[in-house]
Amino acid sequence: MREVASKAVAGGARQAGGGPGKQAGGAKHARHGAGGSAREGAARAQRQGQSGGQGRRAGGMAAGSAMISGRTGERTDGSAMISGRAGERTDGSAMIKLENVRKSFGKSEILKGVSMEVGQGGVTVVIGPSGSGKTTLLRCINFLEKADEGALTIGDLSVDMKKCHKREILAIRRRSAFVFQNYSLFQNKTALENVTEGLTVVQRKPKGEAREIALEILEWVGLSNRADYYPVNLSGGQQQRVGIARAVALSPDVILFDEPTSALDPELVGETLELIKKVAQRGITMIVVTHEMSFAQDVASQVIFLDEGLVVEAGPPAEVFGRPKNERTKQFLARIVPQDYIYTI
Amino acid sequence: MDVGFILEMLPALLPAVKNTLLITFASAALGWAAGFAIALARAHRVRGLSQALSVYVSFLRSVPLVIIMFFIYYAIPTFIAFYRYEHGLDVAVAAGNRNVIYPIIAMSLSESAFASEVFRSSLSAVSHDQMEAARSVGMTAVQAYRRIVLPQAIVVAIPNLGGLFVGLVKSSTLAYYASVVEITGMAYTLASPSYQFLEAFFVIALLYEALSFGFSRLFLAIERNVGKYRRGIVLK
Repeated sequence: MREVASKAVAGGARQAGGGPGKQAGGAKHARHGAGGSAREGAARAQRQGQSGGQGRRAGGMAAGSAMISGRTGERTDGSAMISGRAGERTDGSAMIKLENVRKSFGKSEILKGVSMEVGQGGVTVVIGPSGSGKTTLLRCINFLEKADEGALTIGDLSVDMKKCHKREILAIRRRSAFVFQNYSLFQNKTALENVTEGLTVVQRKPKGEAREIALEILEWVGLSNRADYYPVNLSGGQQQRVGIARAVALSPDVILFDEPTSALDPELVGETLELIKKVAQRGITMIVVTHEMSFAQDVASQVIFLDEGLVVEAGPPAEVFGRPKNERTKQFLARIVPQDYIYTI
Repeated sequence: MDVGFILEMLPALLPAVKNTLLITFASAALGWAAGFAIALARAHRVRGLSQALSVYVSFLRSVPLVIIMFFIYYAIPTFIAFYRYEHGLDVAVAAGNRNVIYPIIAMSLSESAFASEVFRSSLSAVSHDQMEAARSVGMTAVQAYRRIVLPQAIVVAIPNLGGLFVGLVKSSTLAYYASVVEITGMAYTLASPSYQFLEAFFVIALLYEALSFGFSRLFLAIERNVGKYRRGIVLK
């Protein structure tokens, strides 16, 4: 299996609030440009992406920059995805960069050298079969597991994931927030306290200010009337919304979502995904591990397909879902994405 | 039954109650603090220390308290006397009223072993997710323990600690063997001249029951108060 360094840069395909029809304007333009040379295509894609972005911004919906990267255009000529070159990104710096992350539990190697890059404000969705290492990858980024090898950069902070100091781990954690599959709210704290806890204890904000921020965010997730409830009194969906509020309140460089909806019943999945979309619209960089393919198609600026501890395919959702190049990706998607869905893109 | 004797001995028992309570509270404070430290060290699998502590705990849990009490009562004075003789250290051997130190030491040792198991189980009863969530928010390990894990572990531990505490009240009767006059010792002394043991022991049985009942209610109240998040009380 080939190892693919995913260098797709986020930003372009992010869109504000619509369904699949409105989706991936930039990527579509990029595909139209496929007739010309790669370079031309890239340039055209960039222009079109920009204008598209402006249009959306004028509509008052898009958050953050909405430029399509040159690289996305480059891919449209159908050449191999592998690219060793450092790309000229039109989108500013990468927010998160992972290089060659390896992790074994005992004898089984879960991550076999994963590299990826996430642009500022981008939404990267990681998909893949169970046991492919998605969750482990996410946990390694937040040092809930310690990787055996690899380098991690968040913003301007780079660390060696194997041997880094406690202080560095703390610094990385303070730049990131985690949304757990099973919510993991602090059981002994109310919804409000769950949100303020990080603000007062970690960020040392005064209590009043933390409370204000927390109330505002709880209002934003639609739970201002549940501020004084303990987690046991909240439904799963409400708990996960508090979990998301807790993460957003910290205003981290990146929020890591670990299958945020897989413990919820179908009705609650919808409302939670809507909220995660809203988080994306705030322009917060996110990495989302999920099995919700329509969500991935809808919100992602980059989709990464992980299988057996390796990045098999990476690119904008239209590419990965619409025209998967790798045999394994095709297999996986054929089984879980309804065929007609692929055509609606 | 001689009611007159009962009424007469009750006020005489009161100073002895003070000794019982002193021994109980002191052993609880010392034993639980040590037990908590032991539980933490064992939960974190501190190399070497953890194994040593597991031997300590298993030993103290299996040796009867009376034997520990006798050992402390006879060994410590001998030890001190030896050092005074050998090294000229001027350390007084506790005697008379200050004898309470012996049962307190013995019961603290024993209590630390039992309490450490209570704390260890209550720490592991708090889901590991809670620690992870706290760390992911950016708390240090100490902050995470203090603010998230321990408050939850304590709630789990309190009913068992209440049981241990009532056990301590009862174990304090053994202080009698270290020449400390607590409730049982006093009752024995009061009953001896007229051989009215039946009355005396009947009275102190009720007295112990009253103490235990009071402490049980106290622990129940504490449990309800610190554990309100579990029953899902809505504030306001």
